[in-house]
Amino acid sequence: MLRATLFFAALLLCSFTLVASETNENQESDEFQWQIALEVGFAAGASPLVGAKESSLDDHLNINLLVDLSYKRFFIQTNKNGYSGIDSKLEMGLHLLEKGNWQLDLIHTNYVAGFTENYAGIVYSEEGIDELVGIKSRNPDSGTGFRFMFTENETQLWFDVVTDVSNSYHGGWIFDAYYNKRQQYRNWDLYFGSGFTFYSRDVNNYYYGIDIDEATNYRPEYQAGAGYQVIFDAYAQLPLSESWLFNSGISFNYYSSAIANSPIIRQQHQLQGMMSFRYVF
Amino acid sequence: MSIPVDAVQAAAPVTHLSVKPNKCVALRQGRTCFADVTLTWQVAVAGDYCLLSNKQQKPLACWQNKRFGSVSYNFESHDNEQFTLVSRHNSTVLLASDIQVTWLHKSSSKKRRWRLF
Repeated sequence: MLRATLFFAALLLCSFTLVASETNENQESDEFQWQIALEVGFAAGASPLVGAKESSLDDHLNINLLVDLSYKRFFIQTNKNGYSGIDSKLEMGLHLLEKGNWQLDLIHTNYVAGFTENYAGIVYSEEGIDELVGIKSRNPDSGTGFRFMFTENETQLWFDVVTDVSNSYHGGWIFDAYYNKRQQYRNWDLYFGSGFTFYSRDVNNYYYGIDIDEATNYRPEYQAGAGYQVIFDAYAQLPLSESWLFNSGISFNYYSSAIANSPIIRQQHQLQGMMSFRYVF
Repeated sequence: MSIPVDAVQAAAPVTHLSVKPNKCVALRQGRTCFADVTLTWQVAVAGDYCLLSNKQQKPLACWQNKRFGSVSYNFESHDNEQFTLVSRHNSTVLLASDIQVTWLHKSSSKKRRWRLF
């Protein structure tokens, strides 16, 4: 509790200081802006968890409601390029500072998808996924922290540091660095990205550790240490009309041993792919 | 109920300048939009005609003693483009049509992150 209080106090102090010191250079629109989109698509390799490998058509089907809202410095945004099977990526934030190509945001977001014995990645089983039966539910990650982002023309780079300030999930922290380059080829937008995400021991233990009461003959007890994930991705978007968008992408993920050695992780690397059609309201 | 062929022919304009597609959709407002456009024209009297664009100084194509014609065109613009069919002799504009640039997302001052997953 003391930890959360101190963290919030530091955030508030930092926020007020930065907002108060800002000049008119900030070009934020004061207007209320919104966009809602409905996406229907197919995904594969959504999760590296055991039992999360998609097998039927239903498993691959992915339907998302994407919401973007912003008013003055406040924003709520969904990761428009991803899909909720991996993580919903609905994040909210506050623009604290913008200087040239750099901006600093206060963010509340999630990096790791939750799972239960019934639901992993985009695979759902009412009877329970065999490999995960008996596992305790893991909530989706929910972290608060800062994003330091650089955007210049067709390039974007950011650094996120978030922590579970409420200590109601894992109590750990996550650092994420991501670089993306956008190229336009006719009406296509092509994105090529790479990233590095570090998860503290508490995060990894919460998601990938196996407690004694979860252990079975096939799922031994496991204590995960701190670890990381490296990602390379490429995706493409094409407008089909003023309302419809085609979206597709592929992503290669590598997990460090602390994650990959968990009895509920299938393999050290994971290939993900998706294709979708999106209606933008 | 089927429409008689004569009625369809009668309804079709004798003179026309069509642009297909007549709309180019960019991903975001302000972006350059690309399209492979086919321009087709027809007039009542055979003659010497040129097809012009308001984006280019040179004619896209010219014809001699023709009553109809078509040309393919690589459209590449961030805003609308107008095409006109003119008489080569007196530059009179006989027909006009255009291709409109629209977009899926309005441009925004907000910088949002890009990421696949």
